[in-house]
Amino acid sequence: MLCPDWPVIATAASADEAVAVIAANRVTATSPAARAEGVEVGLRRRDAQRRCPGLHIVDPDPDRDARVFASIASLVDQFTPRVELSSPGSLAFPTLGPSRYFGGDDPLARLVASEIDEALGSSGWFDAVGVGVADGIFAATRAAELAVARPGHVSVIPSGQSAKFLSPFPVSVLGRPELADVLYRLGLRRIGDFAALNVDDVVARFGVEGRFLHRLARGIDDRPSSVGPPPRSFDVESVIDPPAERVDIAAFAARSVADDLHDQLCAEGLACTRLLVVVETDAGERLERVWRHEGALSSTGIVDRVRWQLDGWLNGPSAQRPSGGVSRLLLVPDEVMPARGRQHGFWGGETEADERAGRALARVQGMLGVAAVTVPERRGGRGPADVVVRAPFVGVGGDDGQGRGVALDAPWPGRVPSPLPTLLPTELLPIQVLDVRGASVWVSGRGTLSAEPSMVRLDDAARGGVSILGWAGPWPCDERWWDQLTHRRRARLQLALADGRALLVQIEQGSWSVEAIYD
Amino acid sequence: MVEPLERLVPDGGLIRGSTITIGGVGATSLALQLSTAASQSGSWVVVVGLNDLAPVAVLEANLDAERIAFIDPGNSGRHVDVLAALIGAVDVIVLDARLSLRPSDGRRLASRLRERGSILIVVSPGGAVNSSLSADLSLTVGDAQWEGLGCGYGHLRSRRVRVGVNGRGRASRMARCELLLPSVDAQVAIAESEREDGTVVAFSR
Repeated sequence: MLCPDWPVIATAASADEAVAVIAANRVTATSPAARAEGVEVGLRRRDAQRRCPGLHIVDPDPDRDARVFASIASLVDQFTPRVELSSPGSLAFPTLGPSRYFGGDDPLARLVASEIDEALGSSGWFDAVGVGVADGIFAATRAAELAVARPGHVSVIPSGQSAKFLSPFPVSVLGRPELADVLYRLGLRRIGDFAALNVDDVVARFGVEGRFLHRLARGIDDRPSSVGPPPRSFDVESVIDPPAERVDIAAFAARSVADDLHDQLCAEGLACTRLLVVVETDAGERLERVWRHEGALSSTGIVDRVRWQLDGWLNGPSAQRPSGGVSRLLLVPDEVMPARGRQHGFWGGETEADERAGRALARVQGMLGVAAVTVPERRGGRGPADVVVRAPFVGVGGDDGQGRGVALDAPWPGRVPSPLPTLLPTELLPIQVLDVRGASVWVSGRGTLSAEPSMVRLDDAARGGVSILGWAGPWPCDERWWDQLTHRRRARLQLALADGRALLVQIEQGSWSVEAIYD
Repeated sequence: MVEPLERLVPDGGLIRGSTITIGGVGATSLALQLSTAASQSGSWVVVVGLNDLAPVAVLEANLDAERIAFIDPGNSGRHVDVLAALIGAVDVIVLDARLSLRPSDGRRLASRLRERGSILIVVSPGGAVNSSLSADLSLTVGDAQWEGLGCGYGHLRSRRVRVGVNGRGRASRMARCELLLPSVDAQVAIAESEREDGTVVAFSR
């Protein structure tokens, strides 16, 4: 079952609105109305806005996606108990048992599709879902993609026909851009061409990963052959006392269990590809979910999935919400594969030191709260305070690798000349800028100063004025003039004071304040 | 340590397990420049307090954005626990001098530092350091003079400061150094000035 527009549906937007989810300046999901205007996945923000000026842009939020998706997953629960979630917007289940009960793959797929379509349709999102049945998850996902556009939203590939079904697709759907590029240049443009190669040749040229993709292309199975049930039980559980009512408290408990599980598996040289997460409340309710991951789940990945599951349950629709707090958490690795191991970086990359620092920072987060530990993150903006901001620390080199791409060489319109100020007052610091006669200096609507500034007086009355040795400006800055609510109009002045300090001051609405300090 | 700062300290670099205090106008810039080389070579730098520190300036000082974190202990009063958790786990800890430590805590943290080999840099932007931590090395930045800014033209380009070095052991002989902090490329450089007798000096002990 696949729902390609899920990140948009999860925002609770109406179906006829042009909405796009944009992550890192690229469109990652769109609504049908936005697609009709030419907004495509992969487009840059500015291009998307040019094609569709009324586009409503939403930030990505996997937690929200997963929370809302929990209600869809519970719909499928009535057909089969073995629902596997891979990511919000897509889920899979083995059809062998249920299709015998419901009279074949086709009727089962139709039932699932109509059930979900109805649920989504109640909020206006008809025709947003596709259900595909095939021999493996890879082929089934391709089938589901096609099914979205079909009446009935179902596409069933008969058993044994998956390879034939996959063969006309371009090699890029294998999801490995580098490999697709090489294959394309070798003249192998369709999956069928790639599948026709001899296995030995593929292994010789592309190694283990190539063999895995070759299996995908032949529609055999989408798991590496080494995947299997764990040799012994690795179940870890944690009893939460007092029961956690809030997601973050339960997720914090999950972190230590996840680390424990990860360490146990590592000691055996294994990595987890499918994980069963069981949560129980003190009132005896129980929620089980199977999560799968193409690679191996890291401990931060496990914690994320536990948080998604809890979030969907504890903050979901009131009919499904548990009556008590979470009292027990059980993690059961369902499928494992040999860990290929993570080579610690020699230069750069993730090192032992990174892991140690990550653990210490997580501990501090436990003491002070998640928001107390922050890392720099690049945002857009004109002022020195807007360009790089502090964002809560999530984890070292986790799935979402924070801190990457924070560079100052990107374009920065309205940049304050280098060197940049080092301190940004956390609260408004009013200041008086005076001319030689002691009258207040102001900036006209045309951006000229009323007089040369000659001294400043900070608001603490005990100190007298400090004379100005040098000044530059005013540098006018007119931000977001198209938006009444966030429109800011100000002018900056750089000042060097007689006591050795240097300030960046700004005038906004007729009053001066210190924007930044060069310390 | 970045090259121009090597001459500033007796051993030519930061010593593991030591405490460094930095005070005066320009203390923040100096603290960032001191941590740059460590950050570039893969060490983590964690800033405790200093909520007004601009993240953009941290990046401009060439610290590795992937290996820096800011901790805001707020008024929880738990900054001592935070420091204890960080010592040994991260290499460089930059501490806001406004977060007060009891003398007993200071001694405990100092011995933990020596044992685990982290470096603690206590920064007091704009003022003198008044901390119960006894510093192995104490740097005082003063006599700041900005260059590049005229009256109504130009912009701040570089700042000439005088750094006083004082400390224990080999650093106990007071030394002075003139630095460009920041220099025109927003880094740090030794400022050379000409004496009246024509010799060029930048460094004196």
